[in-house]
Amino acid sequence: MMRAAVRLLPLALLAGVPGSAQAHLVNSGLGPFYNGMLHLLLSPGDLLAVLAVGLLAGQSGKASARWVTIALPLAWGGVALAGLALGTAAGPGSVQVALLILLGVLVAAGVQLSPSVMASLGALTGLVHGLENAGAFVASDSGLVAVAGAAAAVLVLTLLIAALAVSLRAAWTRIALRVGGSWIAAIGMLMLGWLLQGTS
Amino acid sequence: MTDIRLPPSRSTRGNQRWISPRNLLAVLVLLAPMTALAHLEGAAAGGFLSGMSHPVSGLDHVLAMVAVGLWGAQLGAPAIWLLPVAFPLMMAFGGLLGLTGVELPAVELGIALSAVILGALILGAIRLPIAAALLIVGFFAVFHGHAHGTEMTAGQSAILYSIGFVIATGLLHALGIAIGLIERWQVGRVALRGAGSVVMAGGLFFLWSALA
Repeated sequence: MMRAAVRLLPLALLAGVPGSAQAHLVNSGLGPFYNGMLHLLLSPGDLLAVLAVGLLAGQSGKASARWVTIALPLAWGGVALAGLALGTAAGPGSVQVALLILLGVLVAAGVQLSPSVMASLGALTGLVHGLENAGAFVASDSGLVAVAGAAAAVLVLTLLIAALAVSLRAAWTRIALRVGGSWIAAIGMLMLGWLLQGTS
Repeated sequence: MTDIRLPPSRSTRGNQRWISPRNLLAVLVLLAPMTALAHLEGAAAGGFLSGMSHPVSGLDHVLAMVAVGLWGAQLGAPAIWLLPVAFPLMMAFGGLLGLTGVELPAVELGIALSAVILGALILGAIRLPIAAALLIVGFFAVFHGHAHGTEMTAGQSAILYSIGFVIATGLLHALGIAIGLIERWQVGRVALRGAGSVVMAGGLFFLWSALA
């Protein structure tokens, strides 16, 4: 076990190095606002993160869901704007994956977080993913509007997912939610494997 | 059905020729141009489809994953949903070990044994405490995940591959649970135990292959 840990250490350190984001905005044909929205909808990693935060917030109750609906898009858009202004964009992939695993495990375990903790977790997710998104927006001519589009998409998705999770009453639906959490955590763990292998 | 009368052909002028609308339709369908599907799936779609197809590509994996659902259904709540929650998590952990090159001894043996043990548990309708059931399922899930982890194809969208892979695994559990719902009927309980014997026999075959 010790040997395995030693073997994994350099890989883990490598995974922790932030990589430059090389994504480009997809042209929706409807202008930069919708390009920003489409960018989020076509990024499976971002969608999974929003799904995980939304499910956990909904599972934690109405108050937590309300705070996350504000914290996540604000942090996402805010850090993307900061990245745009500074012309830098780097996404620490290992932090994104670690967050995904954590969020998935919390949903699977049926944990209910207080509004302040949930909002902090949502904001952290927004910061990490928004920073990576900034790479696509830097390359765009109308980055500001595109950031607004992406943040709007995050807001709408979080709102819908958290509202759905809050409304779940039947026992089997709560179980399905927790199964979904385990799937998210499993995807995160596999992503960590890909990341450590260097093929992500 | 009304037949359509076609004009007589030059070779059969003077004779009446008949063709039914059904045959005419068949001829027209045959003449319709086909779209050429000569493109490979792109990286994104290819990654998802590859991930989806990987867990179902080996019968030993399929047997074990369906067996998890069957056993969960046989044990009832909370095992019916706790086992399918634990399996993907532990399987992904095994996948993580496989992807990072951590060796695991006798992986094929572990996979074959998982079908044998789970099949035997279903056949005997053995009700273990939930912690023991989780331990067994989690232990074997690591072997399955490790095998998949070392076999994953590089060069595809990693996240879409992972999503497809986990969804397919979950659907196999769901299939097992759906079949296992026959447990509520007397004849269903017997059939379920019969299904356990099939899983066990399959496991023994794979065990023999692994040892040979």
